Amino acid sequence: MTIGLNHYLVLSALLFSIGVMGVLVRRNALVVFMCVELMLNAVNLTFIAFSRYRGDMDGHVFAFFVMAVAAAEAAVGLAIILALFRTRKTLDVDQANLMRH
Amino acid sequence: MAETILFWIFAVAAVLSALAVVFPPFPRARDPIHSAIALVACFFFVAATYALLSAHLLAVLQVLVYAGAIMVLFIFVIMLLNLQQDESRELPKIGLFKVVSALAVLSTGAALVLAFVGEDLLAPIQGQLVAEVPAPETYGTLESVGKLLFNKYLLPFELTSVLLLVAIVGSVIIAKRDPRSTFVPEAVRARTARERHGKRLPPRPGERPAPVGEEVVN
Repeated sequence: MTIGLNHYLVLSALLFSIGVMGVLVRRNALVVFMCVELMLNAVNLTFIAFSRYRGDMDGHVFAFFVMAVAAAEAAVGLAIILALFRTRKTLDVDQANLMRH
Repeated sequence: MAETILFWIFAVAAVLSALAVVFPPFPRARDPIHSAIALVACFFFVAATYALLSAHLLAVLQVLVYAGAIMVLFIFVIMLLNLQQDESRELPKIGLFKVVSALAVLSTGAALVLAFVGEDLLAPIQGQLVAEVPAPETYGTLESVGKLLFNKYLLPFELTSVLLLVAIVGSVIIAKRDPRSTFVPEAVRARTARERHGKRLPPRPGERPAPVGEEVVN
């Protein structure tokens, strides 16, 4: 069978849903953040697949920007995780519930 | 034919390593470091998928930026945090919220997959699918991305540079230690206290203990 656009989109949808599942299920803040990066990668794959199908390169540029924003977000997010660990001595996101109720 | 085989290998491997990030396959592999290694593997397979789609620049950038910089940052943070064993051994709490959210995610994923696999959505564009139209020679290269980046997308490019500057300044400020509330590990505090009082340190493993009559602090 020839690989069509559908195959790449299904792969991207699978990676995205695995990322969302990871954000909801895992309790370690670092692993939650890693699943967010997984979701961003799935979106990049969608951009590039559609760009290939359309024949132009705008999707590549968008994926480039997504990568740059993901790098900046990783730096700031990890700084936040460091600060969180320093004050609470744990990375459990279920225990960061001061604003609940 | 080669593209078909390669796509299936990379796609299955990417999904399996993504699953290994979320659900560690081995009971001892619940550390974040195992998830980080699985994520690096996933990034490599996704970069290979980009190469299959003739996105040469983005395949290389994926390896350089994601696997080479972002994941290295993750692993440095995991090393610096130096998690104790009871924090890293994370048992998944099976509560009602988790079950319901997992079901919601599964149904959303199934809806996404079925939407793309269904025939009517992409019927008008059947003739222009990926494998049927070969890519031109200059597709996906650095030069063509650069031409777009500096002509059509110049404003987002400049704004991204401002964003990166803001991210640098912000992360330095957030991660900076407050000198008043520095977290000093107990062993370091005890050792500096011993040195300050002029007492002897306990013998290292393998050394003979100090002779009787001299002060030794346990």
